[in-house]
Amino acid sequence: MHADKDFIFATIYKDASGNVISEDHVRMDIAQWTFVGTGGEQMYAAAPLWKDARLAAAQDPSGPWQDPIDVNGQSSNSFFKSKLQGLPSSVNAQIQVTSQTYTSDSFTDNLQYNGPDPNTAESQNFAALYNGNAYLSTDDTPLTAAQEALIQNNLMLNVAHNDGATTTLTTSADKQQRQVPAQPPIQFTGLTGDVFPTGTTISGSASVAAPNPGKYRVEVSLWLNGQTIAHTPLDGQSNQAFSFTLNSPGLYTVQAYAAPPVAEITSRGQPEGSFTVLVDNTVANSPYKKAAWEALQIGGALGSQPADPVQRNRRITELYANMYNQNKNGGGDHYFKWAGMAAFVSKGVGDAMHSAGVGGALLGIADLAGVQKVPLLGSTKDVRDTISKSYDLLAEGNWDIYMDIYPTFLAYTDRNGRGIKNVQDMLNAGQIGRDLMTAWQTIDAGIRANPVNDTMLWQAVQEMAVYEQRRVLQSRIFDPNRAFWTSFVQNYGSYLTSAVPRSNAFLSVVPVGDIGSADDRIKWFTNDLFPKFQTWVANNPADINVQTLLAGGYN
Amino acid sequence: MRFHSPTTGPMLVTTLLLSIGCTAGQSTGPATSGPSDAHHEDQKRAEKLSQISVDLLGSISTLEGHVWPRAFDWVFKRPDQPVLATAVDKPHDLIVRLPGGRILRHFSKLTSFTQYSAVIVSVDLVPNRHLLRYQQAVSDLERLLAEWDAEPTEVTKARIADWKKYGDLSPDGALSQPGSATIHGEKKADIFFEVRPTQGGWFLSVTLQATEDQREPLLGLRGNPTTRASAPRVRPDK
Repeated sequence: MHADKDFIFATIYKDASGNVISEDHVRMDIAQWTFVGTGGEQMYAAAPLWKDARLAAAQDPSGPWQDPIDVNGQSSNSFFKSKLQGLPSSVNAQIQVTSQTYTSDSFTDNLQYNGPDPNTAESQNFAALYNGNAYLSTDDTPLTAAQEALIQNNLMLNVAHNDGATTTLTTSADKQQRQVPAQPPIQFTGLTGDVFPTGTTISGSASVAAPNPGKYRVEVSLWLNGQTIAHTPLDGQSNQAFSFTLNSPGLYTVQAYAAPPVAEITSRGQPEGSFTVLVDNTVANSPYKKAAWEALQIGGALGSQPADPVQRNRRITELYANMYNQNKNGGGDHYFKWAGMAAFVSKGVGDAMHSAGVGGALLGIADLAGVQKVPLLGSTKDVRDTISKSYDLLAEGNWDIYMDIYPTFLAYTDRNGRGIKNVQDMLNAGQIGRDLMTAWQTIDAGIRANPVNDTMLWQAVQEMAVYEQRRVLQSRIFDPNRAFWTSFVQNYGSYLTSAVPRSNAFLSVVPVGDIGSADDRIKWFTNDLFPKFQTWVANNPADINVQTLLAGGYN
Repeated sequence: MRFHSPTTGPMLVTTLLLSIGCTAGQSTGPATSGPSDAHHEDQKRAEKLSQISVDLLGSISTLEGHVWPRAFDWVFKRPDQPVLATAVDKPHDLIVRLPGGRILRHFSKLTSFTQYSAVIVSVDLVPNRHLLRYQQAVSDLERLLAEWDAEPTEVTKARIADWKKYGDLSPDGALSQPGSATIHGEKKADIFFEVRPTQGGWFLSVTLQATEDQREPLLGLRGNPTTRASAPRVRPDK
């Protein structure tokens, strides 16, 4: 049955001669109701979003994020709208969406007739399902009404707690309902770790964690650097076995895609799942580098490390803040001040990465609209290349610093109680250099002093920060892209700020400075960021509230 | 660091990122081929480059060709102190005099220096002008160590042997590959190095570093914590 705004059902009574005696006509609107995604494609189920990420996006101090188009230019399987074809614009209809998990959690939306077809209406805003327990350590309770209003107002996004949403369409004539279920997760079994030396063969199987997993046909592929390098045979297994040999170092993703029979596609959609694997001999052979990688897991699940750099950045930010919070003396003085400062800096990097991601998405739209040139800025291709580059550079720097320095924190705080000796072992194994070791000797001496020597602990902040600037950032991020950064600061240096509370913009501290120059960045750090963080700690002796930090609440 | 938009939120930030498109991509470019060619080219250029020389474990005043910046020290609350580290970020001819008397000389694209108590404890150089393919970086590392009469530690030797089996690794998503080496006849300094990935290729980062027993007296870790600040301060000559 197709959409028809004036479908007539008639009952006609005739005599034996075929003459019409009477007629009863029932006229009805037949509207076709579907759910569509950001690209207009039909959706049968939605992948739930991370509750805290939506809140953080709505509360970002530099402005709310541009959800739901913030998907790095890619189609999303999370955002959906109701689409009704064959509904006359004269019908006054409203949509109410209710969480299947919490019936008190609901929202209403209006239908709009904005398209070329006057009889096709779409809900005004995109909607999404969310949860908390699948991500990090956050709670899984429903958002409060105020939080939902914040997300609705700032992100133009309606949200409902999963495990699905019941959508009710009410018109003056009747009431209809449809379900948007949450996609079931893909379950990997048999994988025994998520970091391996080169040459390792990993084996396991993947299936859909749904009531009837046998209905799905699962395919598994291995990805490295954005390319598929191996995949399972397309033999239609519902519990698909796989075996891949990881020959070279890198960050791999085992991805599984489940296709139900076409007749079943509306029940739970087409689930996807991934398992992240790091292949690196140094990491695999270093207990603390390995532990740093494993610390990135979500909820302690193997292979759950975020492959998306923005999500990974958020996890790194949280880990830095936790390291700061959890190591202090009885008087509440924090030992690892660098970790506290790094949490703020990492949060700022995440904001910048997000901005670059949004830019990429907007350019994708510009391309679709046929825009070839952005006034004053150059061709969209050039601009996209630049955005892509800045995004990648920020992601690289954040990841590089984390994998370089965070393992030494894990070494020092290891429950084996060997403290600085564990860091010394990393030095002896050629895993770190002496400048980082020296910073740890300074911290160790400061902690061991009676009373704790705060001067030494602050000195170590300088040593680690300068080490990071000099070694990690300058050689890898700034110097190979010197022209890029020089140009950036020449044009927009006044906007280059740090997330350290109350800190000043780069150019106001280093007039005519060059952000690509290590000396200029060290001046910024030495003359402004460092003393501003000292002041912040003096005024805020308590722990860093991770949620407040991620939401941009410290200024 | 973040790109902050004071007025209009992320849309403006986006614009800022968009706006640098015309000048982007002027990096060192993709990895070059021919390790020995690149090395000789660097050597030739080194002859015409400015010269930077320094004594490892010498005073910061031994740094010639670059001025060591000074600033207020917010840890010890003292004005006009040498900053912890400084960098020369234009290609140059680097000469490092080791404590044992040997002199090492090499082209450097970028060198940074770290001091404690106004004594230089580490010199970190990037010895290649261009980004390299992975195997080029590994072979250049071995050449450099041999040139400096340095020998990888046992654990590092095994690591390098592994690296040679990888072929030309893509730098995307890869982590730095670290290692250390001793310098024959030099007791007060050794080498830490990394084969590092960046966009478009690999590069070497090599650190000549004073050993811990030489650093410890400079750190002021025992006794009066102000030792470091009260150590003799020498104003750079240049």
